[in-house]
Order: sequence, then C-alpha cells, then structure tokens
Amino acid sequence: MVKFFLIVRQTPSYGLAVLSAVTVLGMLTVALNPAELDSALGMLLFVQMVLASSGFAAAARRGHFDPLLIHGSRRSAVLFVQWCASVAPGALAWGAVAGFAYAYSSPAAWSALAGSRAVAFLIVSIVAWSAGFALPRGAGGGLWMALLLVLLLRRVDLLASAAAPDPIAMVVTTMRAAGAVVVCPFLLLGTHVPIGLPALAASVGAVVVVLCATIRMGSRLDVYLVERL
Amino acid sequence: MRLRLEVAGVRKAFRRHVVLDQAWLQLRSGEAVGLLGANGAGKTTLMRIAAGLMRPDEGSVRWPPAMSGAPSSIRYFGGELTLPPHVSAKRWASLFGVVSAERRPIGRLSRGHRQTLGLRVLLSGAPTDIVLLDEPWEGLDPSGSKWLTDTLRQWTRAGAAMLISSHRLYDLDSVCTRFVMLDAGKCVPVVEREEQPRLELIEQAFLKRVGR
Repeated sequence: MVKFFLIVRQTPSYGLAVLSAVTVLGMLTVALNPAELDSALGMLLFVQMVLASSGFAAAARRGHFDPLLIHGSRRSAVLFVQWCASVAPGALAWGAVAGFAYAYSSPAAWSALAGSRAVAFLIVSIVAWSAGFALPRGAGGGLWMALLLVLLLRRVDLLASAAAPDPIAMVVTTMRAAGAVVVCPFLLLGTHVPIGLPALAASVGAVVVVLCATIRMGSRLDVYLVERL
Repeated sequence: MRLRLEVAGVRKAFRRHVVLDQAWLQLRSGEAVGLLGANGAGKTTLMRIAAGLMRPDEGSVRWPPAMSGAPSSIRYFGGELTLPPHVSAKRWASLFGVVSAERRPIGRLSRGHRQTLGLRVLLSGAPTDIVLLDEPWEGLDPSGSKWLTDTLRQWTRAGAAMLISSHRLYDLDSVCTRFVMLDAGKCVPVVEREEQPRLELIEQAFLKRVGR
C-alpha cells in the first residue's frame, strides 16, 4: 500500500514545483534574516492548504484506487496512508525550512519543529485533507483560503476573549482559542498572540477527531464510478 | 463447482433512479458468466457491488471463503479510464510485478494501450478466485483480443470464477459458459450452456429485451 502511494503520487508535479520554489524562497528568507522564519512558514502553510486537499473521494470515484479498495482490503488503513502521502511533501518542506532555521539559530526554529508552529502545520494538514475529501483536488484548500479572506475583510476577531477570571469563562476562552486556531492556524505563527497550552492541546484533540471521523466516513464511501469526459 | 460469489436480492438506487432491484447472481469456480444489458442498465454498478467497492441499499453480497478458510482473492478491472493518468506505464506495471518498457504516463497512451496495460496487470500471476471485468475487449486490436480471450479461457479452466460484462457478443460467446442479462434491475438468465446456435440466441435475447 505504501509502495502504491509512492508510485501513484498524491501531489501533482506542478504542486511539487510550487512547493520546491516556496521552500527555497523560505530558506533564502531565513538565511537573510533568521528572525523572519514565520514569513517562510506562512508561505508553506498556504501551499500545504492546497496540497493536502488531495480529494480522496474524487480520485477513488475515477477508479484510481480500485486495486486497494476492493473487497478484503482495510479501507481505514488505505485512507490513513493516503493522508500521509498527501501531506508528506509539505512535511518534508516544513522540516527542511525549520531545520535550516535551526542551523541559522532562528529563535522560532524549535517551535516550528516541535512546538506551536508544528501544531499549526498539523492542523493545516488534517483540516485541508478532511475539508477536501469529497471535493476536487485543491478545492478544500481554496475554500478554506476564501473563508480566511472573508474573515479578514470583515475584521472578525477570532480570539476575542471573556475577561472574567471565573473557571467557566476560562474554559470558554480556551475552547474559543482552540476553535480560532483550528479555523486560522496562522494565529500560531508570530509572537503577538498568546495561545495557552490547554488551547493548543484542545485544538490538536479536535483535529485528531476530525481526522478519525473523516477516515471512518471514508471507509463507508460508496465508490461508484465517475468517468472523465 | 464451489460457490465463489453470491449477489442476493440486491437493490441499488441513485436518489430516485433505481438501477438494481432484486438482483440475484451466483458465480461458481470454473465458470465465466457473460453479463449483458443495454447502456445504463446497471452492469458497472453490479460489477462494483460484486467487487465490494459499493454497498447495496438492500440485499447482500457474499464471497464464500476458499476451502482453507482464507478470504477469496478478487481482481476487478473497470476499464482503461480507471488507471491513474499521471503515472508512467512502467511504474504502474511494476506495482503488480509486471515488466513494461513503456515509460510514458498512462494518460498519454492510446486507448488500446491503456486497456492492454490494465488487463496485463490484472491477469498477471496465478489465477485468483474471482475475476470481474467490465468491457474488457474495448479498444483492443485483434491480437490483443485473442490474447485476452485465450487468457480468460485458461483462467476459467484453472478454476477462476468470472463475471464479464461486454457488448461484444462474439467475444463473450467465445469465453463464457452462461449468460445473464440485466433487465429492469434484475439478472435474467438468457441462454443456457447447451443451447445452440448460442451466438444467435444471445443476439436474439438481447434484441428482444433491449430493442423492445
């Protein structure tokens, strides 16, 4: 199955070309100014939004995964491996830029490898794949970007918090922050917005649930044939 | 002959359009069943349900395990358009242990080449318990058709149970041991093995049901 997805790549050549260009650009940015790592990571997140949205159902309904999905296969395993294959190029690029930044002693490099910035990458990788599950390739990422643009234009403050220090308000604030981070993982880049550990943990929990739910839904997918014209 | 596949009372509808309605079909080892039907009769839907790719709304599909208790091995080919177009033919073939010298992406091959590639990959190695083929002769040249016909006969003799849908009655006749027609969502047996002249009878049955 892994060999299948190594050969039947889930990222098109033009996607890999764009990803490579953004990776090189990101490394150059870090080389010129190690404090600008977030600019490089932001570009990578945008590219990952589109690349991770690989459209499993659309490809399956063209028959591309028939040999894997036939009776007797473990569909949940197929779906998980397809998710890994969809996000792997972006993960490699992310790791390369973060590692490069680490070598240049960028202050945010460690966070990009194992901290809140890495969580941003995980969120994008899961949400974009799930959102684009039943859509054509890249469409999930495109719709997500459109949503962010609308929020930006309407000046919606996703992190507006309740000021009261009582426990209920704190829980609400944490959940709201987690939701905000899931909707806009870019909030985890930069240092201007403090996102607490509980909110981070909640957001990771939420996207893991989203991933499991999508895999569960996908394992019941009716793979009828939609022929290309 | 051991039962390999059983489609029992299957119903499948796409919204209000009922494609299969109380479809029953059994497939036994060593037999090749020709599946006939007009365009849109539901042949591909039945094939994909039989392959476990789709779920019936009602009814059930069973793949009785082999004597050893191991699950049945199934191969299904839905036609050349189901091959991923961006993958090189050589790499696709290598996935299934088949050698191909063709390096071009599958999408750039001619229809016949794509069909041949898909079939050669599918019919490589030892015969499996169940083989499901949707329009396998489409796009093949005479030598490709002959190779396919010969291979399917060999697999049937080796004990594979086959369900083959096609509009090419002559080719079907040369491989299949019996025929069913999908008519109004049901599988109707049309010609028994011993009846002669079989090709004429198949043609007549098809025209009688489809041409009415």
